[in-house]
Amino acid sequence: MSDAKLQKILLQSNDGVTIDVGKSPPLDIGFWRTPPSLYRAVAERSVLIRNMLEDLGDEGIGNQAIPIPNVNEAVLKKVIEWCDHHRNDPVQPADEEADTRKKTTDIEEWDQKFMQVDQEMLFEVILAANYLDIKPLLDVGCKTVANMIKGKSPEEIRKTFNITNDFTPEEEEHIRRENEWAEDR
Amino acid sequence: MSTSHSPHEESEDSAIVRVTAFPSSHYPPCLNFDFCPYDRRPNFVNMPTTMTTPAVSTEVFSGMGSLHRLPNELIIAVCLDLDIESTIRLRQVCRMSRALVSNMIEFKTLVREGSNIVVASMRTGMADWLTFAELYRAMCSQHCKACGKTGHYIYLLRAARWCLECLETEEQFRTVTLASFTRTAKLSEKKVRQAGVRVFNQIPSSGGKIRKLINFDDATSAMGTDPELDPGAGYLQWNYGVGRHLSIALLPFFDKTTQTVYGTLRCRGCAFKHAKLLNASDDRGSQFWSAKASHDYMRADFLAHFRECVEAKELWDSSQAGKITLVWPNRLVEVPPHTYSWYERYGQL
Repeated sequence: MSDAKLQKILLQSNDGVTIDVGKSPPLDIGFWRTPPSLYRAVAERSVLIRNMLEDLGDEGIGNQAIPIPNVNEAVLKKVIEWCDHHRNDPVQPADEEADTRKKTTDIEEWDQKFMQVDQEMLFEVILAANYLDIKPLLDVGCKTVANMIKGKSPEEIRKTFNITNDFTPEEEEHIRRENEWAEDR
Repeated sequence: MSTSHSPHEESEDSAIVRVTAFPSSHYPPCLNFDFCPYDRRPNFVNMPTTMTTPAVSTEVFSGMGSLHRLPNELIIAVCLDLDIESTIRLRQVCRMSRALVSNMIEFKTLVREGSNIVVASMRTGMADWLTFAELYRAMCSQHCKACGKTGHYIYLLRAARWCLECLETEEQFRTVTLASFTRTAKLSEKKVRQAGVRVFNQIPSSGGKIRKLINFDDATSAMGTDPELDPGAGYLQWNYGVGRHLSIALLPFFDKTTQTVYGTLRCRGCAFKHAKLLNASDDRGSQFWSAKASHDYMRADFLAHFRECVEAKELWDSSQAGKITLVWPNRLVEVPPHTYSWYERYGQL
């Protein structure tokens, strides 16, 4: 069984790059760390890939790369980096009420650093996590966006995400009244 | 229709419920009356109607800036991680965000059916902690998280469903004032806040003075201290349940399949028995509406209880099987004076 977990898997991004990290470690990670190796245990963080591997069977894959048509090279490498760090995480139970006392927006320190990227990359990682069905990574991504919204005024939120205020003056008046209610403490 | 010959005919069960039970919301055990869905709330702040009006579908949206890269279901996933206050702020950003938040099932249900909880959390500072998602989950649940019986309350410092018995007796609900905790533990208020302890602002209408309340277990585990509790030294008397009663609110049940909300019933017979005991012992500190007065029953459970409750049967007999309307509180029992004045001030059935 452990042999199967160490089996190498090749992935192909939508810009045609085959990720074979054993040979060329991604530059942005640096040489002082173990490069993420695409062993089966890492790839199986993605439910999509896990199901695919199960369906194909070991003979079915052979040395062929699995195409990931929705994700480009840079994003795929980023996602693999996350999967590699979290390859030994226990599978989270589906129970939603794990610990209601824990703040919902608490993020692990490593994940916080991992998510310190520009907005474009952040959204791409979230979309990739959604496509590849990596629930914990999707959660971290959503929490990161939630933290960007938390505690901000509507105007600050608009600035953060470059949103235009498209309310009519009448609607603005409604909103002003909504705030009066909320601020009455 | 079979009932067409007499539109006023009522089944025996309905008559029993009418005579011998009252909705839990009519004598709310929450000392913050404002937190109860009850039409005589003093100083009640209504939620503005714009909170509940759905977004018009013909509106023109100009997108959500860079967030538009994410599909709607992922933006909603982000919203589920947001606290109540931030969700309401996000709703005020643009038309698109307003429509998205307004159509979230969690937001829609809470502002429509659980507005007392949204108002309570906004006005006590709990809106920074609670999320619509966890409140919705609590609202859809049926049973007390501690004992599994029917529960009708939310402890605002912990978003889940609880029953009144557990809220009044369990150690985990000890609620103390922030000031007394910092004094005994020799810590500054700032430090306690920085450690992430939830601070509950008691609203003025419920007792004159604005106190800041914290959960004792939360505070001790966050600060790593266990100061000796001295009930005389400024702590709220949690054994009487004052601190606990200040920080709870009624939590109605929401049935997802039928999209309806229903509450619980309390037994008038049991309440009268409790009032008698209060008169006999002259124990004015205990509350008429506490768990000791009556359990909260679902309708079917109440009918089962009725068959065993002597006092409820007495009431039922004296009403001549529902023919005579009893005045509540009626002359069968002398209700303790403090209860009576509370009744005169706020009560109306």
